[in-house]
Amino acid sequence: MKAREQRDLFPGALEMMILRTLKRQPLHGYALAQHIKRTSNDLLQIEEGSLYPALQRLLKEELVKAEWGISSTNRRVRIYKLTAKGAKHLEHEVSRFEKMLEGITRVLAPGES
Amino acid sequence: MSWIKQLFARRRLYSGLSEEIREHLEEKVEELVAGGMPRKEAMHAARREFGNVTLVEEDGREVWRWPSIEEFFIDISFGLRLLRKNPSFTSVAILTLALGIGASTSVFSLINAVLIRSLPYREPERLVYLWSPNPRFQLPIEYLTPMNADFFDLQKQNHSFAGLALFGPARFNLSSEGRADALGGARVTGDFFKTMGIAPELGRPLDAGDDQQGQEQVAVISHRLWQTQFAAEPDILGKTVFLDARPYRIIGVMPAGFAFPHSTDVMDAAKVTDIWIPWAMTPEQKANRDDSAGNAIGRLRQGVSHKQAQAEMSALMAKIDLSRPVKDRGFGARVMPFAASVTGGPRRALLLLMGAVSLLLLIACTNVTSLAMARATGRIREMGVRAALGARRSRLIRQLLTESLFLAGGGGALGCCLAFICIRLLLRLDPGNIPRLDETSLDSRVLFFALGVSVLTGLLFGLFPALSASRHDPSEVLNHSGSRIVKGTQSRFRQGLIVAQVALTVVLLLGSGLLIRSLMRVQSVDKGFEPHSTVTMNLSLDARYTQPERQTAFYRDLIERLGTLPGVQAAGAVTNLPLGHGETLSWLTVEGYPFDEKIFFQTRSVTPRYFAAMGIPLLEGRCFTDDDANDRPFVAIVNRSFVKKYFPAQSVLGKRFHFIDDNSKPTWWTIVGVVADIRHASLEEKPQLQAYIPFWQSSAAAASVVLRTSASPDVLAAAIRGEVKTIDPAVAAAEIRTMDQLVSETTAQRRFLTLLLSVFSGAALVLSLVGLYALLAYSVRQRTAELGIRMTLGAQKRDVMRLVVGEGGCLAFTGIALGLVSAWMLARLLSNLLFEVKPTDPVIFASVALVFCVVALAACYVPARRAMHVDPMVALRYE
Repeated sequence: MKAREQRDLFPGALEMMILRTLKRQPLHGYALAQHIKRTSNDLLQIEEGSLYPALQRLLKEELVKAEWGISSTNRRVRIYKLTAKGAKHLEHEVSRFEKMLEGITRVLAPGES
Repeated sequence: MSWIKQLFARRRLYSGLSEEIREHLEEKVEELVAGGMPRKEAMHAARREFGNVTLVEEDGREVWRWPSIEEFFIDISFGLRLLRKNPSFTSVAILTLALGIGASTSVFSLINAVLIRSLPYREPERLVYLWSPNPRFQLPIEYLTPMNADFFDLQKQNHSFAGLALFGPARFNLSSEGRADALGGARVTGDFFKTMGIAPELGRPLDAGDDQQGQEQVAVISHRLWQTQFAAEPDILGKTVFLDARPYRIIGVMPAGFAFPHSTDVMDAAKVTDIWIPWAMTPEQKANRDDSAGNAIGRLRQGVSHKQAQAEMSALMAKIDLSRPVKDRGFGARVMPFAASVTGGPRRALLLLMGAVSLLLLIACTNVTSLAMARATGRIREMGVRAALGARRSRLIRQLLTESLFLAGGGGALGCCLAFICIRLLLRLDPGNIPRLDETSLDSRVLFFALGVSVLTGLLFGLFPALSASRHDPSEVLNHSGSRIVKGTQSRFRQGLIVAQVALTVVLLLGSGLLIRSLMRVQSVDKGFEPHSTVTMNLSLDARYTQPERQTAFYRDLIERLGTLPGVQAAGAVTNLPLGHGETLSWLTVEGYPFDEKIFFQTRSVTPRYFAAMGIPLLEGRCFTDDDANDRPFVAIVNRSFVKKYFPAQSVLGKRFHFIDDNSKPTWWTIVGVVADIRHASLEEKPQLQAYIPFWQSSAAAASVVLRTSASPDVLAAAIRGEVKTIDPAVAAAEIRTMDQLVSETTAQRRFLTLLLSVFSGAALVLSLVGLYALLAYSVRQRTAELGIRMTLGAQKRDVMRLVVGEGGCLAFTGIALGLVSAWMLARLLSNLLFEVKPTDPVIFASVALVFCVVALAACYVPARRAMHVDPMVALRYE
């Protein structure tokens, strides 16, 4: 299925964004999806559903934890929270991503070559 | 451990996920509705944004599990449900597979027992037989054992062997407490037990100190003899037994199962050996270079190969041979692996059976493949739906393969039960001369084989249907009604399977047809004697009877007494019974012809009434009489082949020959009669040159007695034993049986092979007919609508019939033709096992083709009838 899906994200990007979002504040799935969509100005075409398998992966790796609670709209929802392990992982991933981005930018930059 | 926690928390996690997704969608809908969208539209939009819910759920769950294993279990439970829902398919498939797997497992278990399982001796691969062939005589290698002096020289000089021993199979009369029993035994030199590498379970084995003269009155007995004759007394050691009227002290008991030499390993041994005594040769015997007394067996030294041993033995023999007079030279040495000699004979037959049973298995596989494909066709819709719901193709293939593996597993389990029963039946059919066949059992290797075969067949018959069923484009499947899009390649593939199946079956049928015809030829061959209404027995006189007068006196007395038993019409004695595995080959000089050392004569001493008792017709001249005794002129009777070769144009009566031993002052034997050719060695070997001389003029200590009587051996046995006992209580009559039994024993192996092959080809025939029938029945069902249209358009019932029978007939004929051609090419493989039948025997080829045509048409008839009775109206509404 992953092969079939047209995604404009590189592997691990969604997870990184989830972790980054959760670092600011614990959120439940729907809010998380809306937040990512909104902050990316709808530039990223994410199927909302794909958030959940990613969340399951993060849960399994114990990078986030989840608790059932009541949302602001009075729904029973599962609220995800970053763990210490998750925070460390995020830091690591972000620095890796920045290095990669820097590399890509240099290659793509016009000028002397 | 967290994964354990996860394992138990999973169910909660799963339902949590579903709930979460539901909430997500609802929240979205609420939001959109609040933004002014109609609820129905909002629900669609929410779903669209979310993506495939099922898929997301499945992906989410997959994170938590070991996907392949769990999917496997899911597939199994799903497959099981489906198989239960379709019991006719399931049971036909499982039964077919059970038949194939059961048959091949049974045959493999035979092969395992006879060819694979290691011999019950320590490091049997180091054991070898040592023969001393001589190219001057055109005899099989196993006929020539080393001359005594040669053997002892080799034993002293070689560096290849850790042990080298002589053994001579023998029959003994064991007497104790007034009764005598005939036993199979062996004389062995001191190295024998060391060479075999088997320790006794009680006492000690014979060793180098025992085969010295004066030390030899000791014996080692078998476990069986200890149990039966001595009631397993624990203090058996030191007891004295009388063998051939001489006392022997028992010094050891061999473990159960040790009975070497067996009758099948070397010529003329009893079926089992129950007692071993030391072979104390005199210095003159040991120095004899013209007499070979026993068979030689050796154990190679650690690290010495057969080749190295062969090279050393050849070199040593080349030197030793020089110590003979020039005219007697030419003896070499041949080292032969023991295991190969033991199993050499039946090997070809067993491998042939394995080949046949593999074909049967292949037929079973094609049958199930064909069934599974028909079923897969019916499931194209299901597959289409699953693919549309997001199942990957590999996932579908895996699902279908799991189902086939499950069927194969069921077939394998049932097949093992079948094999268990088959082995019991096979052991009943044991021809008795395939070594170790009686040890056949379902051991772990056989079960492993069955497992392997099951998995392999599962993959084999599962792969094609799985590939073809999962190939279709879901949207196409869902748009059509499903059943119409499957023509083309798939049904052609099924037809190909049926053709292959028919061809394989034809090959099997031809093979068994040829073997059946051979067996019939063997059984109707002119044996030269009349085996019905005979009773025979073997006797062996001990050292008290070394003088010829005592031997003739004993046998004269015995034959007279046995001749007067009620119901006995004639009684005679002979040195070697026909088909009794004993043979005396002599060199003769026929008067008027130069001596030829390449020609051997089968010679026998017989008493006057032997020919009458054995039912051998006298063709010319006279029989021996009681007057042809030691003090009268020496006379002889020869067979028809003898006459044909030496005196084709003139009367043979009055002609003479002499034995080679006395060239200087020959004793001439005058031919007084001619008898029919006898098949002495086996029914399948052409009669040789044969000569008979009167027992009263040339007697022997060991002989067989033949009675012509309609009484059964069981009835006569007690009387026979009584008469023998009256003459000498220390002598026993052994192996009281009919010539019919001997004839039956010599054909037993052939019957065994023929029967099994016939059963397999019969099973193959049934399977391929079922396959053909199933294909046609299916095709008629598929074409019901088409047939209906044809009939509405005016097709007659006859035309419909022709259509269906034509389809089946075409497949059957193609298969038959293919089978005949491949059998014609494979025929050479079988030629060694055939008797007076050409591997391309036209009668067999024609009749197999004919039989198959008839039954194939019968298989076509039922579906054709159904097609004929299709009601056009019903047919058109069919879909």
